[in-house]
Amino acid sequence: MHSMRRLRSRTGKIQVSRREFFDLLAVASAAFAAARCDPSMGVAVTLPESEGGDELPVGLESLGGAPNTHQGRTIAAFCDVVVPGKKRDPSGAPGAVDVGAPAIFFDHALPAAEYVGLVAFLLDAAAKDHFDGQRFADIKPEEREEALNLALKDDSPLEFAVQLAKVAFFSGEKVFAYLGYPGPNDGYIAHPDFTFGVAMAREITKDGNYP
Amino acid sequence: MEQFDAVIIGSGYGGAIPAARLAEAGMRVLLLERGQRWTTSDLMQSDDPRYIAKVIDLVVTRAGVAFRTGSMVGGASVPMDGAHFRAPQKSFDVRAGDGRPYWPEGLSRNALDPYYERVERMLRVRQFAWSEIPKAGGLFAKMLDAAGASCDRARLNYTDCKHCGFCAQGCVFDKKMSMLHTYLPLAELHGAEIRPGCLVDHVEPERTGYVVRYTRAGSPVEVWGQRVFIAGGGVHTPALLLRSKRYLPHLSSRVGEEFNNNGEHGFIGILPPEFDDLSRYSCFMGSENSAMMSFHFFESNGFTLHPGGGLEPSILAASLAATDDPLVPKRAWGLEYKRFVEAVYPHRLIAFSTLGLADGHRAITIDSAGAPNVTERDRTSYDAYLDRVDALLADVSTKSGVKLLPVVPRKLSGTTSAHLLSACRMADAPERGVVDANGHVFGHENLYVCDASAVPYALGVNPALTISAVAERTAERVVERG
Repeated sequence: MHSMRRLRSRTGKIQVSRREFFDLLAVASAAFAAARCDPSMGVAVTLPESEGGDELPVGLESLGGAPNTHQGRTIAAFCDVVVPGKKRDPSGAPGAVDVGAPAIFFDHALPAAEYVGLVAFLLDAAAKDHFDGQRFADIKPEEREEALNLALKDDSPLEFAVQLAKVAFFSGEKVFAYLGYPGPNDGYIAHPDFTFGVAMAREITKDGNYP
Repeated sequence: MEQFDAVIIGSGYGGAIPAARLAEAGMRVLLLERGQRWTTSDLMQSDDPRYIAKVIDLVVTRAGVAFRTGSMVGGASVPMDGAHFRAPQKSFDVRAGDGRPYWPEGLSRNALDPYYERVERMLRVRQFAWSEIPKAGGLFAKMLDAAGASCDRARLNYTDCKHCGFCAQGCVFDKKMSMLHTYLPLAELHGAEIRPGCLVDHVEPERTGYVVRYTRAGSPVEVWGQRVFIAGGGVHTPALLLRSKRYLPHLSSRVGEEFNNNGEHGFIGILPPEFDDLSRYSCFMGSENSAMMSFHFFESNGFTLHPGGGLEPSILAASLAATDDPLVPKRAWGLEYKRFVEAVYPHRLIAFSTLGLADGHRAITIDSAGAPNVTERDRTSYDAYLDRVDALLADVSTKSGVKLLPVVPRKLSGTTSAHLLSACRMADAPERGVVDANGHVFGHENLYVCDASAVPYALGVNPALTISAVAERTAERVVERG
C-alpha cells in the first residue's frame, strides 16, 4: 500500500516513483501483450476507495460495467474521453463506455484491477489542478479532455491507462461490427478478394531461404 | 525416486525434438512441461485477452517487460505464425566486440543444413505459392517493389492453410505442423512419457546425473535423470539455471547475459488511397504471417522485414508514434483518433516487423523469489541499429507513399517479442557463454541447454527452424555418446 505522500514530489506535483512506474508498466505490458498487441500502458497502486454521489458523470449514459463508486465513475468518464461514445460522437459510432471498456479495468481475471485506484487518483489530481479543485468525473467532457491532455505530459503512467482503455475498446464485439471485422471465420482462402495471385515483387532467393 | 535415462524440461521445439530422438534410440525419457496438454478442440479463434493469456505464457517481469512464450505441451510451436527459415550464413559470421564469432567453431549454415532439412521434412515446411499469398502480403511486397526492394515468399509449416488469421491462438483447423503433430507423437510412440503441469524449481547433481525438483498440483516431486535437458525457452531456461546456481558451482557467469530480442521492432503501414483498389482489400483476411519476407536489406544492413497479417482491430490499440503527417492525429485518443481509425481499418493497414542482427540490450535475472526478471543493459548499439532501420524505412516510405509508424516507442522495443534468444548462449569457452557447441553446459557433465536461449546471437530471421536444427544436432550428439 502506498501513501498519498509517496505520490507527491517536493514540488507538490503528482509524481510516481520509478519503482512504482515500473509496476505500472508491468501491468500495462501484461494487459497489452495479452491482447496480442505491442505494449505500453499501465496503472498501479491500490488507493482507498472514496464515497461519492451516485449520479452518472456528465455526458455519460452508463458506467460501461464499472461499479457505481467514485473509482468506477472516474474510470468510465476517462474511457469516454479516450474513445468518445455515441452521445458525444456526431456519427453515433460506439465508444469505449458503450462497449463496456470500463468493466475491463475492474476485471479480476486481468491484472489491472488493483491499479485502478492510482488512475483515478491521477485523473482527479489533474482535474483539481486545472479546474478549481473539482474531481475528474464531475467536470464537463471538454474539460476532461483538457485535463487528460495536460496530465499526459512528462511520461505519465496515464499514457498506459489510455492504452488499456483502447485495448478494451478494440476487443469489444460491438467494435468488430462497427469497424467491419468479422472475427472467427472458416478461412478466406476461397474469398474472391483473398489474393492477387501474381508476383508482386522481385524475389532474390531460390526457395525462400536466404543463402 | 523415479529414474530416467533422460529428463527433459520443456516441450517446445527444444524439448520435443530431443525427446523424440532419444526415445527413438531406446532411452527411457521423461518430458516435464509446465503448461497443460491441450487438444485442437481446446483452441479458439478469439482475441479475448483472457483466452490469449491462457495460450501464451506472458512473463511479466518486475522491470516492466513482458515476454511471450508458449504455455502448453508443444510450447511456442503451437501459438506461433508458422515462419520457418534457415539462418543465412551471414548470421553465423557475426563477431562479438572481441573480434571472435558468436557461433562456436564448426557451426555454420552448411554444417546445419542436414539438420535443417531433417526438421523441414518433419514439419512439412514449404515455400508458399503466389496464389496462397494474402493481399496483406501482396501489398507489403508492392510497397517494397515501389521502393526498388525485393520481397520473397515465405516458408511455413502449414499443410493447406485456410488463412483465417488466428495463428497465434493455435490453429483450430489443425493445419500447422506443430510439435503436437510431429515430434511429440514420435516421442510417445517410442515410450517417452509427457508429464504436464510440472513446474521445475531447480536441478542439482547426484551421482553421474541430476535430480530434478518440481511441483505438480502443489506437491513437491523429484526425479533423477542420467542426462538432463533444459528447454524451458529463452526466459525460463536462464531463470532455472540461476535458481540452480548454488548446486552448479562451475556454471558460467554469463547465464542470463546477452539476452537478445532478434532485432524485432514493429511497424504499421498506412496505405495511400491510390495505392491499389483498396476497397477490395481487408487486412484481416489471411494468415497471421502474410507469408512474405524481405531479405533486401539483409546483406547490406543485417535486417529483414517480416510482415504480419490477419490484422484485428486491436492492432490499432498500439501506441502510434507522433508524426507530422496530417493523416495521423497528434493525440492517439479522442474523437479525432476515432475518425483516423475508421479511415484506415480494415482497408488501408499493413503491419510488419524488422528482425535483425542487433545486439541485445537486456539481461535475464531472477528476483528474490526466483522468478524471471529483466535488467536493462547498455542499449547504445541497439539504438544505432534502430537508427539504421528508421533511415532505410523512411526511404521506403518516401518512394512507396506508404506512411510507416513504429508500433511502440523505441524505449519499449522488443518488450513483447516472441524471439527470446541467447541468454544461455553457445560459445567456445565458459567465459564467453554457457554451453558448448553441442549444447553441453560448461563444467557440468550430462547437463544440456537445448532451446532459444542457446542460440548465440540474433539471427535476423525467425528462429524456430534454427532452434530445431540445433536441437536435432544436440540430440544426435547425445545419442552418439550413448
